[in-house]
Amino acid sequence: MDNNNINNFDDIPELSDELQLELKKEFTTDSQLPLDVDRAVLEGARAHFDAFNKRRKSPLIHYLRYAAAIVLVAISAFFVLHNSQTFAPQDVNRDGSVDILDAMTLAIHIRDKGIYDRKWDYNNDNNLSITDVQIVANKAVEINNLDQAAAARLNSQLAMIIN
Amino acid sequence: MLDASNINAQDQTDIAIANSGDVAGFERIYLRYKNWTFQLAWRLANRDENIAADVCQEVFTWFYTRFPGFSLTSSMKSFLYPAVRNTVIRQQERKRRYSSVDLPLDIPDTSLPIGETPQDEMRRHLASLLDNLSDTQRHILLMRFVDDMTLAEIASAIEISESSVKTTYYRTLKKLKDSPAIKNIRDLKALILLFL
Repeated sequence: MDNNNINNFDDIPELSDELQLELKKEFTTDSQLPLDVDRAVLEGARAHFDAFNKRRKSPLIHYLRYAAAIVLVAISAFFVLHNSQTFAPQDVNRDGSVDILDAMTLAIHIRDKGIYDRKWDYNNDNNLSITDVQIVANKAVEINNLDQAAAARLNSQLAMIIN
Repeated sequence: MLDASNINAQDQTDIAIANSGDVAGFERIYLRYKNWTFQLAWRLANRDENIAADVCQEVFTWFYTRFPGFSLTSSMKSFLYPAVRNTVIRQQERKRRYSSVDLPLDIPDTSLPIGETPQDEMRRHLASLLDNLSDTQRHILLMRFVDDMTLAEIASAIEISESSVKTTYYRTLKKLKDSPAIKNIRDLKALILLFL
């Protein structure tokens, strides 16, 4: 068989009308699609299109959705930025400055047997102790230009808090 | 295989209407294709009217949920054919899963013996004619002459090239033409006409 001939529709033999009729008779049914199927499909379609039109005719709902999304994003961004604000490592109470209050806060935490927190373990000995408090105090002294005598007094007072 | 020229202009208009949110567009498409879909489903479901009705409902329910935003890239028949075929397969599997397995395997035939009429003989010859065809040849023949699909629509529906469909179609018709059953059918047709 020559494929070139097949591409020419004129060469394709047609099936006789009789056989076409027989095939139709044999492979079709006189039955009709039940009415309940009609009803189910058409009612379903109407409900589907109605829902779509309602959504389309109430753009306010769309705008409210967008507004809610924007507010949520803004709130999330605020918390992320707030939490990511950088503090000095010795700023124990995270008030933005290193001072005697940080040293006291850590001293009280140790005295009350508060949980171990790596970020306050300044000497990396896996233990919160007077040494960590003194590191904070020394930083406060350094920043606030206190003299050595004042620093020594401060350290002994902090040691008293812990003990 | 995507050929916009195969798309019926009325279908295109109704799709545009349905996409704009007007259910009337979908309703017109449904009314135009529901019987074609039912007949196809009935044939593919081995003449089971219940399955055919369920398939129609499932196919058109799936179809309307695609609006708005539906676009037709081939003819409506090419679009519906694979949907119907796949749904029939699913429905038949579902039916098999839930049907009873306690029936005896050999059910005795208690029907009264009836003499073979010329019409019965015609059916027998037709069946033997189709038995000599491969699955693809039989499908293409029935899609062409029972489902009234063009060769381009058939190609698009069964996702093969139009030239492959043409080749298969040509071979099928040639095979039928050369088949002795054809002559028997012609003779029987004359006989039936004589009786009527």
